[in-house]
Amino acid sequence: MSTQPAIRTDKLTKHYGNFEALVDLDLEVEQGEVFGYLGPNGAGKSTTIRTLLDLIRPTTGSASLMGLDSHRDSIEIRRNTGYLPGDLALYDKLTGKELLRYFANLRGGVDWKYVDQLSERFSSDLSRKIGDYSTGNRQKVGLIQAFMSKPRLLILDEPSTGLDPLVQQEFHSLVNEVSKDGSTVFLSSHTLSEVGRVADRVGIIRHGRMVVVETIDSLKAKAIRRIDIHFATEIPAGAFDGIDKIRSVDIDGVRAHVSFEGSVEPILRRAMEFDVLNLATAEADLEEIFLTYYHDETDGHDTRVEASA
Amino acid sequence: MLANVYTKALRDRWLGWMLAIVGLTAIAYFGMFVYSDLDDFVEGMRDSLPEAMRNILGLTETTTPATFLLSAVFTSYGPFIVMGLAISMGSAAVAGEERDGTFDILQSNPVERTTTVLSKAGAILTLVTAGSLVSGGGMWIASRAVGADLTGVDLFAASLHLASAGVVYGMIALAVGAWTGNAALTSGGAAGFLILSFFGAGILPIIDSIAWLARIFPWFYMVDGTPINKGIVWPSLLVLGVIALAMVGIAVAGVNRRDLRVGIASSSLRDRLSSNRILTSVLERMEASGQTVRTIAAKAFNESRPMIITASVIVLYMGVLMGPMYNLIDDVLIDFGDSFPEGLLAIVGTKDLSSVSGWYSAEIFSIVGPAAALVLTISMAAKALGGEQDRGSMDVLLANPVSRSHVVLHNAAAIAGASVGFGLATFVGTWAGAALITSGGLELVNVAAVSVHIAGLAMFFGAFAMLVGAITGRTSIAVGAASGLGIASYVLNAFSAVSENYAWLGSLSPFGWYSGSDPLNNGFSGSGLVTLAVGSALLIGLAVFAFLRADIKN
Repeated sequence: MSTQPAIRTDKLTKHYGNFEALVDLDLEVEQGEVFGYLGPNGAGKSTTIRTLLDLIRPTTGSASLMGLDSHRDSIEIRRNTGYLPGDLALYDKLTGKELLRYFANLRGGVDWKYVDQLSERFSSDLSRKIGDYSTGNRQKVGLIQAFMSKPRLLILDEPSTGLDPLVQQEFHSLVNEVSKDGSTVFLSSHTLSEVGRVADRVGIIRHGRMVVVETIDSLKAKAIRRIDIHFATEIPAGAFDGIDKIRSVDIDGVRAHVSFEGSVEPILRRAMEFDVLNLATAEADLEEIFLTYYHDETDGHDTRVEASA
Repeated sequence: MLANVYTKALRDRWLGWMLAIVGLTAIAYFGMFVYSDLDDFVEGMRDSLPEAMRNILGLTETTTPATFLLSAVFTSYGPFIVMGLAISMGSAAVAGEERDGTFDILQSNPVERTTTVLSKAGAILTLVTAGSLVSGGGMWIASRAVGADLTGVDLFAASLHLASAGVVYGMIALAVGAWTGNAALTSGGAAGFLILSFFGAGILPIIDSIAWLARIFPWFYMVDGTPINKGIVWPSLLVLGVIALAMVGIAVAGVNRRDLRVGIASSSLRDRLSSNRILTSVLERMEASGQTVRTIAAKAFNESRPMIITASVIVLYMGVLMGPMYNLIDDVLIDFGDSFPEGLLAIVGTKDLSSVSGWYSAEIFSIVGPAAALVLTISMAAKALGGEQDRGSMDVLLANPVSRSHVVLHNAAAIAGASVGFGLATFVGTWAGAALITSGGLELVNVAAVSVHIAGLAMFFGAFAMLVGAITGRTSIAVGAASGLGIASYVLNAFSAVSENYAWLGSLSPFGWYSGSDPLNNGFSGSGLVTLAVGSALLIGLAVFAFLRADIKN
C-alpha cells in the first residue's frame, strides 16, 4: 500500500444543479509529501476536500486515498486521516477536553500524552467550553483533533485561519515534523506565502479546474524577476536582443531594466560586454505569479508560466 | 423605524405565517365539513346544558356545528399557532440575533438600538395582525365553501382579539429577549407562559374563589366575553394594547442597558445564576457538565438532558397536580359530564369528563402530554442530523472513522432513551396523582399502558423528524415537517372521534395508534403499539438509507 499515492483523483466532477463546482479534476499527491492546494474563494478547494472525505459524493469521477476508494472504503480512510474543516464548527457546550475525548473515543487509539503535548505546543486551554473560545482558540482545538491520532494523511482546509503568528509558526514546524515521519499533509489556502513556507508542491485550482501543479522551486524559477543595471557609458538599444526568456527590456541611456525568468546568467554575460557600474535584483515575487493564475479575464490568454513551460 | 430592518423581519417570517393561515383555514374547512353531520347533537347540547355552561362555550340559540367549531379554533388551535409564531419572532428579534452573532454587525451600523427594536416590534405587530385577520378571512371563505350558516359569529372580532393577544405574547418574548439576550431562555420561558396561560385562563374561572387570578393571563382577555359571538370587547383590547406597549417599552429599556452578546448564551445564563449555589449545581447536573461523553448516543442524550428533564418534570407535575385538581372540581365535572354530549367531548380527547380516566385523558393525554413528548423528541431528532449540519459540525464528526448508519442509530437510541424517560415520568406522575383522588382512581396497568403508548408516539415522531433531517440536512425543515405532521395527525384523530362516518381516519393517524384504543381505560393495545414500533423502525431505516446517500451540508 505504501507505493500508492496518498491522494489520487480521476476526473473528479461535482455539480450542484447547473453549477460546476469541480470539473474533471485530476490530482495526485505522493505519500510523505506536503501539498499546498491553492485557489481563490469559491474555486472548489473545500468541495474537493469534502469529496475526498466522502462528506459529499462526486457527480462523476472517483477519488482514492492511500489506495482506498473514497466512498467504499471511507471508514478505513478516515481511520488514517486527520481532518480540519475550512469552516470549523464544534460543539459549543463541551469543553475542549470533553470534545477531544469524544472524538478520541470515536476514533480509538489516541495517545492522550500526545494530546497533552499538542495542547501545550499550541498553548491551548482545554478546560473551557468551546462556545467561550475565540476563533483562534477554537481553531487550535480543531488542529489538535486533526493531529492527535498521528494519522498517515492530514487534510487541512485553511488551517491558519485566526491563528496568531506564533501559533502559525508552531503549526508549520508540526507539519514539517509529521511529514518527516512519513505522513502526508494536504493543506488548502488562498495565500501562497503560507503554503510556500511548508509545501513541496502546490496545485492551483480555479473555477473547479486544476490550472497547474508545480513544485515550489520550479514556480520560483519561473517567476518573473527584474534586474536593474547601471553602466558607465550609454549602451545600444538592442544590447540584450536575442536572449531567451527575457520578458521585457527598457534601456534609458546608461540604465537598463530587464524582466526575465529562469537563470540570470545569460543576462549577466551580455552585460559584462559593457562597463557595468552597479546592479540590483529583486527577489522572485511568488504572489505575482500566483495572481496571474487567479486572473481569468481571458481564458485563452495563458499565464506566462504556461507559455514558457 | 428602519424600513429595511422591518422588511427583513417580514421577509424572514412570511412563509411561516402563510403556512399558519393555510393550516387554520384547512382545519376550519375540514372541521366544518365533518361537523355538518352533527346538527342534532349541537341542538341537544343547547337544550340540555345549564345556562352557565352554555355561556362558557358560547352556545346561543343560533349556534350550529360550524359556528361551534369556529369557536374551538379561536380558543385552541388558532391561539397556539398564532402565539407560537409571535413568540418565535419575538425571541428571534434580539436574543436570536445575538445567538447567531448577527446583532453585533447589525448594531455596528449607525442606528440606535431603540430604533432597531421598534422596527422589529413593528414587524411583529404587522405579521401577527395580518396573519390573524387573513386567517379569519380564510375561515370565512371555508364556511362559504361548506355552505355553513355563520349567523351569530363575528369572525372579525375573534380575529382581532386573537391578533391582539398574539401581539402581546410576541412582545413578551421580545422584552425577555431584550433583557436577557438568551434566545433559548426567551422562547422556552415565553412558551411556558403561553401554556400556563392556556390552563390558567381555562381552569381558574371555574373555581370561584380564585377566578380573578385568570386575569393575570393575557389569554383571558382574548376569550373573555366571547368576542366571537358578542363582537369586539373594547376593554379587553385596551388591556392587551397597554400590556403590549409596556412590553415594547421594557424591551427598549432592556436592550439599551446591557452589553450585547455574541454566540450562544447558555453559559451566561449560568453566570447570572451562579450566585445561587443550589441552582448552579442543579444546572450543572442537568447539563452533565464535567462528564466525559464517550459515544454519540451518550452525547446526544446528555446534551438534551435539560430538555428531557424539563419535559418529564412537566408531565410528572401535571400528572400529580390533576389528582387534587379533580378532587376540587369533580362535582362541576359530573354536571358537565352529565349534560355534555359524548361526541363533543371526543374532540378534547375523552368520552366522559367526570370519570378519573376521562379527566386525565382530557387534561394530559390528549394535548399537553403528547405535545411535551413531541417537542422533546422532534427537537432532539432535528438536532441530530439537521442541527449538526446547520452548525457545520457534521463535517468534523464524520471525519472520524464512524459510519453514517452508526450516527443515525446512536441518535435514534438517544431519542428512544428520552422517550422511555418521558414515559416513565408520565407513569409516575399519573399514578401518584390518581392515587390522591378520593373518589375513584386508575388501574395501574392502564397507567402503564398509556405511558408506554405515549413513549411510542414520541419515538415515532422523533424517527420521522430524523428522516426529514437525514434527507434535507436542515433543522428547521425537520422541525416544521414533523410538527406539521403532528398537528395534522392530531386533528385527523380528533375529528375521526366526532363522527362514526369518519372513524376510519383515526386509523391513519399516529395519534389514533396512540390513543384510539383508549389505553387509560382499556390497557395495552397490541396493534397500536406494534404500528408505532414498526413505523418508528421503518422511519429510522429510511433515515439510514437517506443519510447514507446524502451530501453533507456545511
